[in-house]
Amino acid sequence: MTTEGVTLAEEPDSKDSRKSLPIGVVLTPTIFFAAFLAIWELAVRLGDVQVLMLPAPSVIWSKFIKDFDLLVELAVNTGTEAGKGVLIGSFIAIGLAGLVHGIGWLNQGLLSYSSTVKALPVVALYPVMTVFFGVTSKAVVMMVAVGVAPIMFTFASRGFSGTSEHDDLMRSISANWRIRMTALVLPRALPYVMAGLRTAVPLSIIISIISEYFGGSVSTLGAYIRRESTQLHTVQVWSAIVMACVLGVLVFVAVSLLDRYFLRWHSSRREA
Amino acid sequence: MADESKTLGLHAAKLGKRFSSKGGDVQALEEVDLEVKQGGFMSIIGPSGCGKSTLLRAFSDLVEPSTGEISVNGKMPAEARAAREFGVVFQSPNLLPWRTVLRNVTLPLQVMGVDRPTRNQTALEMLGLVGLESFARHHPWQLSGGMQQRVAIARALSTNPSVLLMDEPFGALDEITRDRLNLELMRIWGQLSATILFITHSITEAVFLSSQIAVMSSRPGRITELIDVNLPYPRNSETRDMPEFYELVIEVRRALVEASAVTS
Repeated sequence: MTTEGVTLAEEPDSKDSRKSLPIGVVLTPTIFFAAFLAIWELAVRLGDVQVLMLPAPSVIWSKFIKDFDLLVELAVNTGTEAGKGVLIGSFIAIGLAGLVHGIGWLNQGLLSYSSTVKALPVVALYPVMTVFFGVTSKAVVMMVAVGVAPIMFTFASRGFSGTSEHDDLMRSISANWRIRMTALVLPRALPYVMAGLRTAVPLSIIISIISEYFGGSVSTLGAYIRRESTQLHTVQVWSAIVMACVLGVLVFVAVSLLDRYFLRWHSSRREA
Repeated sequence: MADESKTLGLHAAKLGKRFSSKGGDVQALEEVDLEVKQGGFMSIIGPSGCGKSTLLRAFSDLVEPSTGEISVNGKMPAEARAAREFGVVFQSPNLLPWRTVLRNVTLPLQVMGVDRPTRNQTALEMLGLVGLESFARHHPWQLSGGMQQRVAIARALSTNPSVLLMDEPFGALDEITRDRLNLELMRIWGQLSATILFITHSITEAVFLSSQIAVMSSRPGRITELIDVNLPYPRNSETRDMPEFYELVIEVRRALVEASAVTS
């Protein structure tokens, strides 16, 4: 459990690496990726690989552009499901962590429980979810919530359990519960919540798409990929996979930006 | 509580504090008698771990004494805390990093339910007192350590307490900054006439600031000597050049050596 804390950068500063972006950080992966695409393209063309097996990148790309509006709609629906799931799961997990953080045995119990649940393949629960919510978008949302909640609980719980000299300050000025929570406990837990989100949000996209494979709204990335793959529309499948990757990158960037904004006071997020 | 004037200031009588832990009990304070008159400046000096911080924490209701009596302006520390009789300045600036300097200073007023315009105005006055008015919108991390500690002093003063409890507030600062803040503290104290209890392990700092110095020994922590500092107020940079200043420094050093000898 301690390894996850490393992402918080509680330790001094990693600002040196942020200050200037070495050219290699951008250039090297770009060259590698371009080379990878070129080899793929060449292999497919020269090897005369059937489009059913593996379409060339150029073919996938033109399909991606052609179906762009449809793919965006699918991504928006999948993203919305994932987002709702993250909101519900985080809300419950953070609320619960906040409620039990003063109660040692209960907190400890829930913590070991959530650690166990984190290790389980929650997607296996999807059929159960459909019993509760039907084969609907709601079942996907709940699936994401169930997958995200233990992660958020673990992080939030650690955030709430923190103590600092600020607790003495709050006592010395006789702060009431409400001010203690809003001025100290919640902001102090925020770096942990953001670290939790950095793990939970990309996971939510994965859980959504896999859940959608099994049903739910027809107008989602997962449902589209499954439908097209059963009809051997490999190019459509690949174009949807590209869109799924785009979605994944976008939500990751979004969380990173939120992190930067909300934690601009945090020692590890400082530029100068 | 018959005579109100007698109970103002800080009082401790036969104060004891024992910390119990698995490794055994530690007698942090034993039979400590202390009186700081209203408007007085008392420094407590002693070797590290002698219990001087524990004594201050007992006055600020952060530590429950095991035995003895203790009062702030005639009230139990818990009552005094609720009545905003004292402000505390901690060893570290202890500012909330997510709040601006201004909102750090307004925090105690926010707790008291003072409306926003009034508390902002008061906070700006306090920041003016420590010379940091123009940094109100900055965040703590944009300030140097000395500036942060001045913000902490402004915060402690914001509720206009009659007692200031300062726990080695300048201990982490370099000597030049510390000397400057000592001067500033003298100026502020002159304006406010608050009662101050000041913990330090710097002899020159204690002599420069105090009207009285209590020397503590460690394990068990007890006060071995009280030294009156009869240097004229207001004190300024010339005070440090007075021969009396050096005589007092030598006297406090001797008392500290004797206090340490008790334990070793």
